[in-house]
Amino acid sequence: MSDAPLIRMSGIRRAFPGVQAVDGVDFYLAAGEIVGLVGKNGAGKSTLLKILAGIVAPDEGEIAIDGTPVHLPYGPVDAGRMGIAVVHQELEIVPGLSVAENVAVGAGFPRRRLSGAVDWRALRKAAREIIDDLHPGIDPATAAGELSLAQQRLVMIARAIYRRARVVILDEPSAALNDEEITQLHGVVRRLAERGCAVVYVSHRLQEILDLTERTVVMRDAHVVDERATAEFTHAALVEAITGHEGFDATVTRPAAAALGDPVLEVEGLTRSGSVEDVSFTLHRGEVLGLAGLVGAGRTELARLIAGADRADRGVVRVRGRETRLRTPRDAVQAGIALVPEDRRNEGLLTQASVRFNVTLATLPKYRRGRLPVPSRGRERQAVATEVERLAISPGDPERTVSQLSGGNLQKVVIAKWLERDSEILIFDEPTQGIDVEAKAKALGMARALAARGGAVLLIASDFSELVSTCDRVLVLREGRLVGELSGEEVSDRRIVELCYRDQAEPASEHQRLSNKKGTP
Amino acid sequence: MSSESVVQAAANAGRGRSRGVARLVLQNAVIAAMVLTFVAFSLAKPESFFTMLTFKAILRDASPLLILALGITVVLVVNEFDLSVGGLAGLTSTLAVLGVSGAHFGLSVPLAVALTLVAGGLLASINGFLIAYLGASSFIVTLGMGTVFNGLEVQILGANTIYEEIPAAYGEIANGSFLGLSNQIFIALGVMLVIGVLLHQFELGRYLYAIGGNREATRLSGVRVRLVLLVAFVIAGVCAAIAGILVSAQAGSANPNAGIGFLLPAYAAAFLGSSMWRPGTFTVAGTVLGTLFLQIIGTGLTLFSISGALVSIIQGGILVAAVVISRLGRDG
Repeated sequence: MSDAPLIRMSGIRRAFPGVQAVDGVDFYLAAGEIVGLVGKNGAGKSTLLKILAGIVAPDEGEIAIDGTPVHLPYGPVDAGRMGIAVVHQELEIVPGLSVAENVAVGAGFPRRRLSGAVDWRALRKAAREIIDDLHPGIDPATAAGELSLAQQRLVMIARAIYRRARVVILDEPSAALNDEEITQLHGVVRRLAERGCAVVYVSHRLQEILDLTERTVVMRDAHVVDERATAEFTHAALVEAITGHEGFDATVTRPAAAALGDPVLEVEGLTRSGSVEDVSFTLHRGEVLGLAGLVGAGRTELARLIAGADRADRGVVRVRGRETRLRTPRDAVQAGIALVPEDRRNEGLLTQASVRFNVTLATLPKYRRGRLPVPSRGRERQAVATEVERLAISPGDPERTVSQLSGGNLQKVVIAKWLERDSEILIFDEPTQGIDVEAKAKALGMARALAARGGAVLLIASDFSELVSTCDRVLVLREGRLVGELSGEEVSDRRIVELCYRDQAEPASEHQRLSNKKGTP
Repeated sequence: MSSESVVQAAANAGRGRSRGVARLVLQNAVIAAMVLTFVAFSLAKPESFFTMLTFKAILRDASPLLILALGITVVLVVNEFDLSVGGLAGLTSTLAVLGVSGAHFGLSVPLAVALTLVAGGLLASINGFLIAYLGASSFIVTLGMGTVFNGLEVQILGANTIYEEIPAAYGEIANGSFLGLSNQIFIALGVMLVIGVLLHQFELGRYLYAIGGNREATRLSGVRVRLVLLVAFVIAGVCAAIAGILVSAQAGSANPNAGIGFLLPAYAAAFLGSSMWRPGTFTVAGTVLGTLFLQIIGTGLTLFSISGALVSIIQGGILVAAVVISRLGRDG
């Protein structure tokens, strides 16, 4: 055995249209080591790990296993053969199959020598040995779908061992687990390392990174910005490294603080179990209110509740002071609430239909000429032409099929539909996702313009600097709960990140201050 | 529309000329095949096929099929299936005959017809409710309901044919003529007009196409998606009832399993139609042409005294070929 680390990635670069996701990263893993990988949304963690797992090919760079460079690019199957296994956040278990089958699926079942039939007893024995070693108590014969989320994660880890993985990548394995389950999970991860596996542990919960890992790698803006033995990090130092010192806050201009208008949307105790917990806030006329949080914090889920796309279990919503039931999207639309979804192609538009068809869909009765429910094409064209001009949709032909438009223009078509309806409350879910830099600035400018015209905007963005440059106030969600509200000078990238990462173990001073504030409106 | 698509084709040709031309040919392959078939029959049998009498017969015989196919078209537009319309047409044909027959209820013809149409709509609304509001798969639900409808029909008839005391006015619905053309043709034209205006002019049609294009985006736009889906199935049910009435009126009796044979040709007509202009888009004009195409083949081949089995093979083959060709046209 040489002294070379198990995995060495050097000079890795990868660009996607409009963004350099990973920019000259060196990363190594030694056998038996637990390495924490942290960073904001979009810092480049996922891309780096996808490159290691063969899911994404690097543009440049070298990967060596046991000191021997491997041939690039390689696919996920090659990565598996080389002993690299990924446990994704979305579990890839087959619910109807037994635990034992799930452990072996894809890697080949043991066979009987004579008949070639599956040797079920040997399979169950092999699965039981692996599982008992990790965390006894799961019967390999149970259907995997009957297990808890935590147990299903365990099955996925057992699958990695069954495949003789030497590197196990755990992508947010503690998401949606409770404290006790997390403790169990940590036990399993340590056992994995004792067996000689190198473990990469990705998490947004910094406390568990500090508790569990031996070395921590911090990524920011496509680079590795800090890398130390975890013992040398403190919670504060980690937050510091994740946010960065240079603070690009200085480069963005905050909107001038305007006096808040009347409340148009008041949300009280909104809850949908498992995704949104007891969220209360107020949105005012003329305001752009940011909604920040890490992936999985419940931002989109909250937006969907307000847009009536999903039903809330509890909570009250008042629109312009009147209590409003939002049981279907139609309820929300009629109350003047409009959602511009993140997945515009699947949730916002009919891509095979024309611009006119899309823009007028929510307002067809407006274009009737007589009494019959027959929209007049002429009136429709007129209305669409107005919106095309107002939003500078290009190309401006109302009969153009939507699928031929660029990402930024697709978004404008969705917005045009809601402007036709005079919707007052607009919810933008990741409006800058998948559009180029220039279009990004325009999209954010549009949010401000809509607010200035007397609307109110709820803006979700994973790039917090966009929230800083656009929003009057920012709400921060973590694990479905509202954990902070920032306004005026407080709104900074740094403060948002701090709130996103603050672990529950710490004193929740901000939250207390908030709840005190709520008493005196 | 056509001048637009020519411009479009020219624009495509700029990127890849041969590709654009190939697509243009493929997109019109079905219409070309239809014209060729017509010409071939006319040349082969000028004395029996290329006659006014045959043309009138083609139109008359295509009528019940067209009405059923138009109903199916509405359901296909929302991207669902209704496999129960064959069974429903059979059941409603029996109900109408029961209604008018002096040996049974002895209702007046207009009343019996109206009640039958209402029954068709109500029975189909069961499909619509299960699919739109309870989220059941339309394929399975309508397959099952079609079997139920057919079973009810057989249960009512008990393997007999009802032909006693049927008023002449009932038979007149299908067998009468106006300006030398069968009444059935005018009824089919009426249904075609209503469905055409509904689908292509009314707001309802816009919602139907929107749901077929992207149900979630349509729901998020505030459209009552479930209600619109329910209405689509009811329209298909009423169309099935009209077709059922025509069939039993023409025969002057209610026969067991009268409607079942219509189901597959009606789907064939709608799919043939959908492969004509914008592949995958169901339109009234497409379904009308598709139905005519099938009927031309059916009537033409009988003039050659070709067996019914062979007619089925040829019609089925043409359907499969048309759907495959239109897919090539879309992806090519």
